[in-house]
Amino acid sequence: MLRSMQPFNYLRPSTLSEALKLLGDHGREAKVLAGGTDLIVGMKEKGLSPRYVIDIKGIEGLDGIGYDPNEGLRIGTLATMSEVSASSCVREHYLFLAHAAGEVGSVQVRNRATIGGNLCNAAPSAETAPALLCLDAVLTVAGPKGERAVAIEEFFRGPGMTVLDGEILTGMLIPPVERKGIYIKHSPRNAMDIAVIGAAAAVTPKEGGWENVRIALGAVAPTPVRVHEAEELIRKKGQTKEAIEEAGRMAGETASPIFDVRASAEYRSEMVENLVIRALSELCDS
Amino acid sequence: MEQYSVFGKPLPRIDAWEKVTGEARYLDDIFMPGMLYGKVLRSPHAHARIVRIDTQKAEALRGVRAVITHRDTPGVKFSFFPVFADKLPLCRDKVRYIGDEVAAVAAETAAIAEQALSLIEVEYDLLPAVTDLEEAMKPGAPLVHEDKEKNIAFEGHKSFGDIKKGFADSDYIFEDRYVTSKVAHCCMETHGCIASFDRLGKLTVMMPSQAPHTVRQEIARILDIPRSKVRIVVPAVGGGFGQRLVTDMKVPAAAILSRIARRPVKIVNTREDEFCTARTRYPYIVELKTGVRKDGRILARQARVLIDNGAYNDKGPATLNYAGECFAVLYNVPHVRYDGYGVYTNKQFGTAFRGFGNVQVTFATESQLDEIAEKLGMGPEEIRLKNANKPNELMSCGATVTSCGLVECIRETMKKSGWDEKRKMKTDLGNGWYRGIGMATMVHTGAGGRFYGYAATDTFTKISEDGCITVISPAPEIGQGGKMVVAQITAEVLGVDPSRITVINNDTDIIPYDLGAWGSRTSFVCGNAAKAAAESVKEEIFGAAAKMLQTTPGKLCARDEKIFIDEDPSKAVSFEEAAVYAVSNLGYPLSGKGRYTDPLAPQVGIDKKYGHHLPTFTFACHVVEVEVDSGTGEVKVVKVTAAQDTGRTINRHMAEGQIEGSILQGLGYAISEECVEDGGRMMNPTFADYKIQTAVDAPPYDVILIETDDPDGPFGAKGIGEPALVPLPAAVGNAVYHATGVRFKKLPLNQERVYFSLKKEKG
Repeated sequence: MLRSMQPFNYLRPSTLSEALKLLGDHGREAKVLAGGTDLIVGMKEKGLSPRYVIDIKGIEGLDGIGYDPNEGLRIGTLATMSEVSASSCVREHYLFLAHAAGEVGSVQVRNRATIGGNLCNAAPSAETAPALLCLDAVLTVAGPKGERAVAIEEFFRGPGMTVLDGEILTGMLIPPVERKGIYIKHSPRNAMDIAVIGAAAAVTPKEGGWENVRIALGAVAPTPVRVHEAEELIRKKGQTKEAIEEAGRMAGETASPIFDVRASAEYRSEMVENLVIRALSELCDS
Repeated sequence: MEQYSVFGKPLPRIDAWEKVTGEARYLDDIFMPGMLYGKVLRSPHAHARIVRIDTQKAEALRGVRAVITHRDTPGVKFSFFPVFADKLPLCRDKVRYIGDEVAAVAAETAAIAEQALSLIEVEYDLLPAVTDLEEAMKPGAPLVHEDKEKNIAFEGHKSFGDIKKGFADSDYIFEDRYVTSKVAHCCMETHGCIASFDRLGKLTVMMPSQAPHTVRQEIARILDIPRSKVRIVVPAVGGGFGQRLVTDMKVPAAAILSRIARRPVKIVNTREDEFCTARTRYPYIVELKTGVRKDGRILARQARVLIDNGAYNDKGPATLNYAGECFAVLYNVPHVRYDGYGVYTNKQFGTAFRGFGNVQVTFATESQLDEIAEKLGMGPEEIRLKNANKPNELMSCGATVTSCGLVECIRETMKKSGWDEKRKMKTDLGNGWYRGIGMATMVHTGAGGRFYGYAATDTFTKISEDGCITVISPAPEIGQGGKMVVAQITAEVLGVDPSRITVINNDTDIIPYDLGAWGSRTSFVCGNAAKAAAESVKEEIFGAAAKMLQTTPGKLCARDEKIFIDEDPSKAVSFEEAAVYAVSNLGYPLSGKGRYTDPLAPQVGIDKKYGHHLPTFTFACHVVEVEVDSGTGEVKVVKVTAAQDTGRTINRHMAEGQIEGSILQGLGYAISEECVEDGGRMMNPTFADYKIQTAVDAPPYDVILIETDDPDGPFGAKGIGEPALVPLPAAVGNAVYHATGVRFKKLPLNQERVYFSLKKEKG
């Protein structure tokens, strides 16, 4: 019930190396601040009390969104949800990612919250994660020993946990592969809500069928997850009604959703099945 | 020329500017010199004996100015009705729900107060808790109040006509059981207070309240001091909905802390405190039995109502009684029986909430009526029109309905919503989607009630030497427009623009005695008093104007800021000139007093003359259109058409605002909101998990105002603050039934419940 924030040191480095140095110095006592829509709420209401808060918004080059036909879509870690959802590059190439970003919280939250923060907070329900999983996003991570690339599927380790180790997520690259996708957020109301289930699917339409079939889910497991078996099934059997229904069932069975005040595990499992079927069917029709 | 120049017009509210600019000061904006911050230590257990409380460490903490427990209180048990008193301000021997007040501290900062709470040691001896209403009724259940023989806290029984004969004469009898949920008011502003004792022993409490005089009496009772030593001052209020009627124990706690510390003490709820302790709507179980003739006429209606009271009585007995009043009046049923029981459980207790018991019972009666209609091969509209109340009809309970627009409400919503065509449309939209349309009606008070043997009030109006008008009225302003109602009625009488008017309504040392804003009574009771006061001061200013125009007051008219001779409007003076003339040339200022009295009130207290408690009734019919997704259980409300009998609409914008707000709050109750409890603990005390409907969820509305010209209302007006919420849940349930063929008898129709029910019944 404690509602007062504990005192902390606010640090605002202006370069990435400075930020990494601070992170190295303070280790577990430090938290990285971007939009603050999760961190500040956590500090005010959920007992989170870092001694050091390292604000990375003063570092140049961590924001921005750009598309290069050879390289793909690059999104800076500090790009806000509003920017991602409104970006013409994102909308032109991967409209469903823009939709997913537009589903986060409220207008006010989307103006603050960043795509990097959404991933690093590593909520199972992270709104942009299923879409980025479907797009094979490659995350750029900077650490004391330099930069490394992490496939998004490798990034999440559990609720609130990622592979980051004294490192900072600086951005992501989505390979220039043509895709059409869909993200369905299922929640009790139309705004300011947390996904009970998030389901994304994407494919590359080719003559005679689909390639790069991807199905990913949010809020049904300790991390956002891809459903490889169901993808494999569609790849093998094609986009028939039967295959889609079977893929849905498979997704429902593989999901290990939690039971909480928002929904029962049973309901979540059934929603996984229904929404995966719905997502794939819509991709067929579109 | 139109009859009225100000009354009924959609004018901007006189308090709009201060609210949209942020100038209005709410409690949390107010700081007093030397003010301390108070916090309440609450029980973490649903049911436990208090073995020991040790406050020494908390008292020793630097910055702590006072720590109190039950020993510092007079130990007077309290409830809204003294006869049902069951709650100590701070618990002595036992805690009875998670959140029960155990101790309180005042400190220099909120953080110190918070820390001090953690230093208070309380040893509890855990007792078995009873958190289910029906379990609590069983013999041998743990007693929530050990001094009582059973957990039934109160009962209420009403019988009119001959129920046995009614059922015997019926061709069909229907029996169903309905269950409603626990929901929270969710006022934008959480509850709080600043209590301050002066050195002469007078207590001033600043707090958001919808019934300042009632709260004043209650605080005096709890603190065992004379009422004259208590003054309530109400700042701008961020919503009420019934939650700010009965005293919350943080108020006497703040007062006692202030008396000890000799400083003002502020206590404000966090949102979590608010969800867990600020009280809720009462959950009801309604067992309903109805007898009808083949032609659809309702002959007999019997309800057994069980109320989950929570740990303490509060407004439970009153909602039980009131729900019975409405039950006996909606449709003219000759034989009625109503048996209600309020049952203690170890949970957060309920209080008044927009609709006041009526919405729970109406969910049952209006859901079942659709089932009856279907069985008889009638349309929902047909059976309602067949039984609808009519003006000047005498009910079996003894009440006479005066103005009544129920038939018009049904017909107009049908017309506007395209009812006849939409009822015939295909309901299966394919892909697991269904569409449907349903209706429900209601009756509610349009003027508060005579329950307390008193239903009157006064109003004082003065015209200053510059022509500005001040109205001293007890009409509370809790966001609903109480001030504007008073201003608009006053402006109509005096023929001026409402912007000329200031309303003072927030200080029990100034305003006349009144019962407050509940039961949609403000427009009727305070409106009538304001009208009388304006008419009285009008006589004075007409006296001045008559002298200026060399005529007699009886020949004058006031309109558009002018006072003129009715037969020759060119002979006119401005309102302001007349006011200046009175002071400068006649030598006296202008003032008036008005009174609304209800002579029946002293004769019909709560236990007497049932059927005469409500001065007038208001009626409504709602038509709701839904689309239902059987793949997720989502009920999407695509349109609401609502007709409301307003008597006469005072301000179209405000009336529509009240109705639209009621609809959205009612939709939340119907499909998404619920206080989820586990072992007496609220599991979703945040807006992330307690799902109110947002602006984005609001469906399109069509609001129809039906004017029936009430014989006793000010310019014919009736109150409309509560009623528009009442039919919503039943109308949603009826629409979902029309869409899917599946009947829901339990609220809310949330996604999970709808999904699994449809899956079970439709495969």
